[in-house]
Amino acid sequence: MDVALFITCLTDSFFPRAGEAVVRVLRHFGCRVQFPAGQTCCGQPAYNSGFHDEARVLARRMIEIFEPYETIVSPSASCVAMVKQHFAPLLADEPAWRSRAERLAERAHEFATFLVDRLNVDIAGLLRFDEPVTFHYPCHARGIYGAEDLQRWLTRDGQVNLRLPQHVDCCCGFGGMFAVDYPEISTAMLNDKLDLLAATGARLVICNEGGCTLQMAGGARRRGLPLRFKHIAECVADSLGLMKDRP
Amino acid sequence: MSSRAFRKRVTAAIADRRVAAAVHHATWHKVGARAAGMRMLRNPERLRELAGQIKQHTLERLPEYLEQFTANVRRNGGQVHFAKDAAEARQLICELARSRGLKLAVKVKSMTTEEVGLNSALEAAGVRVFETDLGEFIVQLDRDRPSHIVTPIIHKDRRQIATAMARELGCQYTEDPAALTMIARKYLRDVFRRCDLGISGVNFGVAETGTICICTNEGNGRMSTTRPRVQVALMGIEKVIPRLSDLAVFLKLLARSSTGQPMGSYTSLISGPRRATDADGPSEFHLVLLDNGRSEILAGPFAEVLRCLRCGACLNACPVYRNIGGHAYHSVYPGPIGSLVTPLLDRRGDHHDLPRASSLCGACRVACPVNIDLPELLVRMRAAGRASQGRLKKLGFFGWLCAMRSERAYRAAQRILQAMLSDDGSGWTTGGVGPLASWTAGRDLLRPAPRSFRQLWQEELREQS
Amino acid sequence: MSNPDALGPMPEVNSEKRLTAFFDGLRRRSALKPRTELPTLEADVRQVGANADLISRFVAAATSAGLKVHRVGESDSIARVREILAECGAKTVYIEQNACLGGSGAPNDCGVAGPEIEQLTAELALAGITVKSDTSDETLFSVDAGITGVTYAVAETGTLVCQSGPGLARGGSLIPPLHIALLSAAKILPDLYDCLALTSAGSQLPANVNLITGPSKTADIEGILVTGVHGPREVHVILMQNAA
Repeated sequence: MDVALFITCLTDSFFPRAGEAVVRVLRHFGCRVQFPAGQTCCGQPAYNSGFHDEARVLARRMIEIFEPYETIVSPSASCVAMVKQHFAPLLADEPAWRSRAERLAERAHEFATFLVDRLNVDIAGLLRFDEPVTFHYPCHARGIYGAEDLQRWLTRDGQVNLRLPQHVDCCCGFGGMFAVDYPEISTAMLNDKLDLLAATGARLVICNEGGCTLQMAGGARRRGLPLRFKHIAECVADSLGLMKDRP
Repeated sequence: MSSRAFRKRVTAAIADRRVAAAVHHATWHKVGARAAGMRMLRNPERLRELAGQIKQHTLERLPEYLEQFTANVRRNGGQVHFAKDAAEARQLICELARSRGLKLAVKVKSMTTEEVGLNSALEAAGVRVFETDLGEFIVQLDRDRPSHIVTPIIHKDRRQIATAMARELGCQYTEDPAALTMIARKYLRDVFRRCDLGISGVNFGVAETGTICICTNEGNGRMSTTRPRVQVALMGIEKVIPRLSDLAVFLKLLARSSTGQPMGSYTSLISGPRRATDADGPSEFHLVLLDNGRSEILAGPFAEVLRCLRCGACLNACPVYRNIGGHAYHSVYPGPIGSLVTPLLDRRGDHHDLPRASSLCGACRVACPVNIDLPELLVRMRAAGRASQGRLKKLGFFGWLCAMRSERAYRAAQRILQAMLSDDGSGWTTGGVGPLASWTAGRDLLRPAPRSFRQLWQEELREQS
Repeated sequence: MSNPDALGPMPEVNSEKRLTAFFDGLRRRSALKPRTELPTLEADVRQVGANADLISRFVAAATSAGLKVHRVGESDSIARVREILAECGAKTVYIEQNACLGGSGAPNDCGVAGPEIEQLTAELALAGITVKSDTSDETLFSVDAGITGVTYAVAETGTLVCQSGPGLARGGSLIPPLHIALLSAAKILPDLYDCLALTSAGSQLPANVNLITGPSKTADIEGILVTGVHGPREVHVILMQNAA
């Protein structure tokens, strides 16, 4: 299967290892992976901030870049949600663009759901951890996958020591521009979330969203909490021994 | 970038450890209770869908249903008044009290009466007003403001309550919630015995029967609609529903959403004043229909907010509310629904921070019993308020857009970002100016990786394909 | 949010003209198109079907709502009332006149008779209890307990439905600190939906219909549950079934 990668700006700059893991895992399962040139951002920061003209410019740009591809996979559920849920309404007044947006929405997939639903991979069966793990459910994955899906992917008949955090879908307080526009609130929310994660006793946190990881890893470091964050693609790649570096 | 006043309120609220602890405890508890209550239902998601659908249907035909409702209230012997704004609502109710010589009013907890500021107007008109919901009673005693739609004293702990009650009622100081409640019961019993005016809001107005529905747990709703000789209900025009059986949907969701209970203790269906042969009950029933900006909301792109039942579930679910409490919103309506409704009802006020102060996490949408898409509406409101964004923000997005429109500019921006973030060799940034200062005030910032993904792709990954 | 100028011209009270003008304006301005259907409810809304064991569903739901349910044969109801009054130390009671204490007049009467008011009154008096039947403030604010009938009950939620009407004081189930409700098992409806459908079936609702699901309670102070805020601290349901 040919797969076009939509790697998203935060993964590109901050978490290239997660991107690399996505490539290696997809190849492992027989996909031919392409990285469409010219891609930048889906426009989500502008959309969420109410700068919809700017978001439209980037939505059209992204449609042009990705519509030649049949299957598009991204490690970020929030960026996929932007494409799937918001592009078409955003372009509602431009019928031609709108239908192009709708076509693109059908072809865009979040990495883990693509693995499970399209490639029929049993993620839980692949994962190997030598320590207890917990996870963060990214709020913007709502509508793409649920917290219970994430939990299922990580639960392998007693093989994975999964420590479920309390209030499993509690927000980390990132929220894009919100994190710098309202830093006091964002940080207070972050500390609530870190308390919940730390209380599990696990030190490895599965987090599939670059923004959330940026927020939580930064907060954990500031507070001296021994939490590490990893994308599920990295977990799968590491378990399969696909990465060149050590995890 | 928040306004200075909002930022000040928020910072103070977060710093108040006592309030923060109380609100955290209460909201987490309610989130759990709601989830447990909803799990008891055979089909909770279908019920939320139905509730939203009934409300939406009614809003789309509001004039018809209001007409039917008011005609039936009259048929039941009630009188119907119309208040176009807060001032008219206050005048109408004060005039009712004056013309009938009413001097002692008991109030059921009601958001609409808070919204119009009824209490102070009545007091100025010479009517003693007693809030009878325990929480509201304590708020009134302590000259405080409610900070939650359903649990007005969510921000107070028992010591503050005990102090206020001992000071204002001259009773023995006690911190025992049961003892405090009994002191209030005894005090208000006497008021209930002597009162002549009962004032409530309305949870639902049933068009087909002209019935108002009032839900309480304490029984103050029943007391206040049984004891006085004149009853006044102040009802927002959006509270009407078509059929009595629609209540089956709403009642299954309302208490569960508020407190997790399958049903509140008392649900009163009131259809006009007492009948000639009734043993007790008010002899006059007045319904005051309140617009106060609602018809304007109905005519705009945010009409969906008028579905709201005021259950408080979105407040309990909201991590922003949990951390800043209700007072920081500076509105009768706090929380996610308040962030939408406040700027809509008070168009002259400066509330532009409210829709922006949200991570859009969507916990509110999941909790809403009438399926209001709150995050989507918050984004829509941010877009509508774009003009009020700061110049720096606009400039920032202009620059950002320029960077994102071409890969070359994007890469240049990536390099600038690399260079801008100080490097002490640890891979982390811990300070800076502007947005960087905002970020690093409470957390560190990971530095961009030495090689971006696209470099990695070019240099290593691509070869393999 | 309130308008600071408190007093302006007085709006005309109870004015049909003002209302009509408002409705017309609303019609002109509303941006919403009528496109959402009013859904039919029963199948989706119903949580409890007619075939369920209504009595045990009711007992479970009512108990979890904080009502104290006593299951008795019809002939034992008065004795149980007496016991409850004794346990609570109640010396004076109000008994609702005209109460549908038994099955008669009930929607689907299955013939549980329930005690006659005269008999109940007489037996309680014999036990040294002062019985009052007037609905004056003096009575309702002074008695230790109120004994009332119930129009329907709801198995789904454990709800008691009490209506206003001749001889049926709203205060009887509300003002005394102890409420004893006499309920014939035949009056238990499966679902809240059934109760509301029945209630709206008549030509006009009673002025007051109360759905009682628990004692008076609050959790306003630190979320701690306290009963008996303004209404009764305890509600006892005498659930009467045929011996068969």
